[in-house]
Amino acid sequence: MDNQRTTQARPYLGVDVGGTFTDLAFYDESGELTCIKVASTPATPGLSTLQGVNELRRLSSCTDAAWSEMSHTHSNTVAVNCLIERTGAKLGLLVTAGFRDTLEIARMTIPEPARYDSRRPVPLVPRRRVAGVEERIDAEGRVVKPLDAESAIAAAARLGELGCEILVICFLHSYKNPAHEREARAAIERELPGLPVEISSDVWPQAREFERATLALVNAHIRPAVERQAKLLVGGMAERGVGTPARGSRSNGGMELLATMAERPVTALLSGPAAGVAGAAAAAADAGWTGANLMTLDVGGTSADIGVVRGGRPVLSAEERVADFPILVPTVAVSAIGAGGGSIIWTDPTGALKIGPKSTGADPGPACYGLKGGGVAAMTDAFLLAGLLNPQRLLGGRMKVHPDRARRALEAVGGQVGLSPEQVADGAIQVATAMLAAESTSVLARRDVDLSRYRMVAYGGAGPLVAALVAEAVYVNSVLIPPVPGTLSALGAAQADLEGDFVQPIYRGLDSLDAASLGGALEGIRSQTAGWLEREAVGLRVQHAVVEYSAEMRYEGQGFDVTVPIDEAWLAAGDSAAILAAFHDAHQRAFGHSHRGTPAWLQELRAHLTGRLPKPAPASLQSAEVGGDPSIRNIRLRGKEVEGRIFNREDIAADSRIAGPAIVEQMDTTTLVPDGWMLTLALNGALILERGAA
Amino acid sequence: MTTAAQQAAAAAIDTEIFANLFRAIVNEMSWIIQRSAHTTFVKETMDFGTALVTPEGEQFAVNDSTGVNALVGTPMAPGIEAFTDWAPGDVAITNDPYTTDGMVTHLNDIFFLKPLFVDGELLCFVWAFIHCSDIGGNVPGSIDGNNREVFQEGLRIKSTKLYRAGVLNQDMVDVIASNCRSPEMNWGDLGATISGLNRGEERLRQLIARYDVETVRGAMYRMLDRAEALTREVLKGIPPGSYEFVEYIEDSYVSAVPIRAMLRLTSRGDGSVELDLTGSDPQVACSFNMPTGGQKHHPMLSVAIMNLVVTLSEAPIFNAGILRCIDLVLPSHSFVNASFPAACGMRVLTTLRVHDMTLGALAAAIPGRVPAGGAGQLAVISVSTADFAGKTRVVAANAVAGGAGGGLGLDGLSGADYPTSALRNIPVEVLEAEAPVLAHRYTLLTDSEGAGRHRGGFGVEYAFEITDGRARVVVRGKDRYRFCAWGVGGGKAAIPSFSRVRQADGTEVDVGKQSVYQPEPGDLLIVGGGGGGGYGNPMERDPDRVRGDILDGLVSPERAREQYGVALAADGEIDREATAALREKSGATGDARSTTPAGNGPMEVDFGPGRSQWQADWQETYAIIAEWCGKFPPNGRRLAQERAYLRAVKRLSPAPARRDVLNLLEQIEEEWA
Repeated sequence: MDNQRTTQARPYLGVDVGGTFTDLAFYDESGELTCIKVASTPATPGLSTLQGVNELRRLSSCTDAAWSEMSHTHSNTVAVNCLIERTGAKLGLLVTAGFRDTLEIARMTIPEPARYDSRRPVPLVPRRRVAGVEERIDAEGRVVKPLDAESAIAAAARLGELGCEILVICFLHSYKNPAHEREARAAIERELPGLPVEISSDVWPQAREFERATLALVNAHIRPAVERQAKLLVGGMAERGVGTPARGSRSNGGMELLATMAERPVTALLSGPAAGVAGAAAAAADAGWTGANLMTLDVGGTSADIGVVRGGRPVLSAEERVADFPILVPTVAVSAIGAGGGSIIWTDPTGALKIGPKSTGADPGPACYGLKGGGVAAMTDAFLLAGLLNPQRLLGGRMKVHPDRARRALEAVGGQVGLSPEQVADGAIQVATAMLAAESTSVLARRDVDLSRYRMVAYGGAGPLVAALVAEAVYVNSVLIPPVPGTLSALGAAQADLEGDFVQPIYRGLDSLDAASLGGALEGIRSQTAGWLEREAVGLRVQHAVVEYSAEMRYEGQGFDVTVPIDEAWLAAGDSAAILAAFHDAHQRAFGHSHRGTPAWLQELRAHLTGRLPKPAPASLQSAEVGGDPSIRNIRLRGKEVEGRIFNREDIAADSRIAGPAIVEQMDTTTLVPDGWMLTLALNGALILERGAA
Repeated sequence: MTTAAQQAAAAAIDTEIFANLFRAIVNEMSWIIQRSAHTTFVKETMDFGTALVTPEGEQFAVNDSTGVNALVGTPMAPGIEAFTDWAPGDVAITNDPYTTDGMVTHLNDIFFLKPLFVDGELLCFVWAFIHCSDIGGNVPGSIDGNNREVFQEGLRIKSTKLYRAGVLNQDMVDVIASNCRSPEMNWGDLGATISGLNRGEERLRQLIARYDVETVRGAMYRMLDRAEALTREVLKGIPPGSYEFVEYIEDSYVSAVPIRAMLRLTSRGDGSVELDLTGSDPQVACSFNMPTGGQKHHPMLSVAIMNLVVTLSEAPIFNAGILRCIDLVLPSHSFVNASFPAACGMRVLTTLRVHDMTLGALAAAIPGRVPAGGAGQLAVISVSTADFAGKTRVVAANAVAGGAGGGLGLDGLSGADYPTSALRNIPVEVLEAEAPVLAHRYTLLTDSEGAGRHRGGFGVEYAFEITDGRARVVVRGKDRYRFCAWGVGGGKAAIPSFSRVRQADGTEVDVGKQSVYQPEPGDLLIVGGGGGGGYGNPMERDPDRVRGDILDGLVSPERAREQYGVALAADGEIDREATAALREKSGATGDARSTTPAGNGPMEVDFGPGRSQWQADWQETYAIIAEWCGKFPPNGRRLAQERAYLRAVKRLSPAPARRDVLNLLEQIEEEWA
């Protein structure tokens, strides 16, 4: 993430579509930020965005000329929703004959091996719509059995008769040699015009047939819905006087043209959470935390998302799962935990207090909403009764909140185990904190993160409330709350760079790769990156484009890969010794040991391209010159009841140092400063919490 | 509020907090091991584990993110009691079943224990184990069904300090390195495990710094008490009484004599059960023996009850507290409680069989709440290549299980069985890049399932060719080639497992349980796993589901008519009239509601043709001989049993009279006198 802020000449719009609300973050040409929320329109994805744009146009004093020049990056929530609900295209799958059950058997294992009722997720394509085709290519990419095009056409015709709207082809080793997939597609398109065909080697050429097939299928399944939304947005923005092309945010935290994205929408499945993490990284940079290592914590109504930023940039992973499916494309690594404001508080048969995974959802919501069908105690009720939330300000003050009902619900839980409602509230917060901490530790260990060198950015409705508590539990001493923590994904989208990921499959022992093959691999991936940048940069002022190379490598016989940063010059010069040394070093760094004598394999060459774009100037500091007087409220925390000072966010002076226990209230969130923590303001208006800084 | 009430209230909150804190530690340890381990066993099949252990040897926190749950709660006391001089910085290792009273159950598992001292006082142990791909022995990978003694199975390491007060015992490292086939990879796994242990210790120290040591100590024991209490809640649901079931490993690889396991499961009504395996066969001269040390609690023989608890509990906690409610009664010198020096490499098959046997007993106790029998094998295929320089490389090619049983209102899992369902397969594209293999088929088998209202899972077939003439193939863990997965409550047995070779000229040869195969060019090796057993009367299966299976090509129209009484019309829709007629003919009401017996009544079990025929012919003879051989000293029993049984099968006609069997035994005794 680039911390250099250029005075901008044009406005920036970022959009994030959630289940209930659509957030729009708009910087006008003078850098003034406007954030609005409008109701989402799940029946017509994209419509809420256009309605929000209408409202923004009314609110903003932006000139028509500047408005027309706006850079706008849109949400792709439609992609993930379509996949979760499985409402996308009806698909057929062609595989290498003999492997019809690639989807049914999957990776053999089940989600919860100790449970007799655990089953693999139902495949996206049932067995009846999967057909084998005679052909075979081996691991070296050599043709073992030529493609029987006639059998491919016949199978495709049968699948067409079954009502398949799109056919996907995934043949063995097509990542290494896509010839058969391409030939089969050409033959089917020739003989069966009108039946679209997609091939797995086009979507993401990586080994592992089940995962690659899944990726291609997911891509095809969601594509029509994403295309429909793209069409609506492209036309709608033009009608609203915007002359620049529409872009969409991607799962890697960057963006690309909606037209490009519609070809490979699978790269946008996690764009919402990814934009949040990218927004968190940007907010940290704006606050002066340049190149920081961060854990991000986004706590919403039903779940908490944890992400990692290393050296100022979101950490990508190719092992994410979205709605039951493994997704191999590089994605901002976000792990979701079923713990949010709506998570239900209950006790198990031994009397232990438990949180979730069941949630009250938005309707009926926590007991304090007082809605019909409600009355079950949820975390929001606990926050309320512990005095952490202000009943007058909850839900932005839009809705009446009933503390008495929260109390009654917590009383019902506590009655079973001899706890007072206050004790349940306090205990539930402690348990939720432990859960978030436990999951964070596990997730971050998986990402190879040593938290002791990390700081935290917290956002979402409840993130700032629990941030310092979770930070303490995971030994993190600094927490940043962005200025507008409720709309960080939209802000992230507004500030996105062009980010592209590319892969060149190799899958060979390093000692078998001569200078020519390394050079060839470099050329292959160079032409991909150059082509993409040329297409994507249209209408943008790319300040500079950086391509970073890495290799996925492993020791011979090792079960998985280590990502090794690679210098372009090594590839150009065919310097495999340098690559090998870099691999040993990377292994040593990651795991504390390396094996210099063991042969290494180079699985894939990868490239990540960042096209850096001008950014909106940071929002001007909106702090009071003189601090307002806090009010006092009793808050209950970790078994103690204390007097907490309650501040309005707008009333905090720039040079304030506020020692906990204190609470900061603002329109879209509440920040808790526990005992032992000190709150200050950053340059960009973010709140900084530091432990032991009194 | 009284002090006791206050304590209880605090416990209500603290328990869940510490459950999370401990879980975070063991899971973090696991990730470190998994990320940095070198061998496929640890990485892909996730055959490793981590836990925190009380000084008394109970695992109070166990990782839930890896592949192994058959070791949850393993009694650790023998490993701890091996030393009286534990000191900070020590790490002890062992892989020896016979000096640890069955703490370890085969040599490939290496256990690590590291003590945690606080102010000079022992608080707990940090534990990890990894499955070591090769620990020496007579075959690559160390495990072979034909092994007769543990000496053939590799290097035995009795509890030894690998680190003494933080100092590495290099001599020990050298001994290990010089006794296994791929020392670099093993050392990689060892290094990864040490990193994991160290992280666990560091995290515990942070915890103690934040809370105090007494709070942490109290929480340790509360984890166990809570798991025990939750388990009792579930097990109280088993009506008091005793339930019996018999299972067989159909032969012992080294002889054609079946191995019998017997179970009397008693629910005491207080939330505990006893699994009495008295009557199970003497230890055998192959590697199926389970060296449990006769422990009262042992996870390897308790998998079904543990899974049941996890399945039926609202908030399961996975630790040794579960095992406190499962008491084992194990006859000494038997294959479920083997003595030195019985071979034990392939004891997983014994775990699988005892698992299914427990399901069989539970089927009568709590009908509908446990699945029918599963394919019950784990045919692990590995390919070893030796280049002409003599360097051997072994690649684990895949594991073929089969289908799991139907039940709990669900069809059985296809292509995987519950006790081994944590295992992942190896993608064809990954395998072919690493080993000289060309896969031809990896597919579910049509009509392989045990029919049932909730049918069994479908079996699976892996067919592959070896492309390097120097390579050979080892397949271990095959079973249920005759005694297939059983159905229950009106459900049917499935097809059995199989192994065949299709030669270049097209002829197919049945290679049965042969474990080592040297392929000829063009040979296609076919390793099959049978289906899972069905649950409930198949004539009561929802016709729409039957139709779905037909459309998916998994059940043939002929079988649908015969087994399920469902006929499809020409347009592919259900022919309602024909279906009603077929079902009426079978005597089924067509009512899909439960007709399974409740309470203590015996459940009808369909063992399939192989076992049914054998039972009719030889079961009684087998039982007579089993009783007779009790008169021999323990180490001679199996030999006597095998000789006598083989003689009986040879000399007597099927289903012989009791008198004839006794006469035969008398003769044998005279010969041996």
